[in-house]
Amino acid sequence: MKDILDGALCLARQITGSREDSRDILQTAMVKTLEQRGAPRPDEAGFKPWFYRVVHNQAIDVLRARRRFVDQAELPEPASEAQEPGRLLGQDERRRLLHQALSRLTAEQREIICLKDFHDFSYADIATILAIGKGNVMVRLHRARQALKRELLALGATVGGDDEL
Amino acid sequence: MNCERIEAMISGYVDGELTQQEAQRVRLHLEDCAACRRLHNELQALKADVAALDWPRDDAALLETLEQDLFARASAGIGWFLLLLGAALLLILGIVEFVTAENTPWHEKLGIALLWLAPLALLASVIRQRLIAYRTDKYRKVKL
Repeated sequence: MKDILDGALCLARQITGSREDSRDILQTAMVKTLEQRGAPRPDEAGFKPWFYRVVHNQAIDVLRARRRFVDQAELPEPASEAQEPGRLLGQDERRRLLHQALSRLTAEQREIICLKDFHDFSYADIATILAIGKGNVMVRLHRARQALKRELLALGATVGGDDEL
Repeated sequence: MNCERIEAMISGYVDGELTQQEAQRVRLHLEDCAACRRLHNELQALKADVAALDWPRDDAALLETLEQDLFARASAGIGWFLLLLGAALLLILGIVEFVTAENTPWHEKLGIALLWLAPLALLASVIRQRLIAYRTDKYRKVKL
């Protein structure tokens, strides 16, 4: 259970970019879960995507209320100016740029990338969390990744990959 | 298959979410198309980079509290359920014994029944009023 709460808290922070908001979101989601009749039990397989959906809805409500869909996520460090294109970057520098690139995406783009690549949900679970069709997940995720790639390139980072398969 | 049609499927391929047939089509296309192969490798690298990112996780105390709260509420719910179940069983048994008692005259039974029914009716009335007041209270979500 703690892992689910930990992941959900992390997702709320990834969406809103705010520590305080994410704590409030998690607490509200917990209360809603306890009050909701017919909600899956924490030991059931469907609980995790169901709970993440509650967190997602709550986070979207918070963003709507504060009218900052295009928000800045909290970064480990403030960003410096763009790097020289093609320069070889260290791991820390690369991570910093990736955080910065993610923070430049919309909340929806950042969320879908994090749900797949960080939280490792299947497309079916992501469809449940976002309340969209499974086919839509692939298209949205692809667009979000392309946007992330563009942001990284704009920051002067290289996006890996040789020509080999 | 042209690149435009296959592009979004490359993400599905990287995630292992395509059917066997779709994956085979993408694989064959990637073998022939250098641009899509580059895109595939870029998406794969991006995926690995995002998976390896560190996100701040400094809310261990909050999680501990929430988890304890969850179990406390769950056990409180079970406790209330058992208490009400026991009370209901005792009440039913009492009523059955009272009604079937042969050595109590009917007028005594009637008097005792009325004495019990009167406070129960008053209790039901108070509960009803409280429920109506709760539902129509505009400020119930305001925390003081």
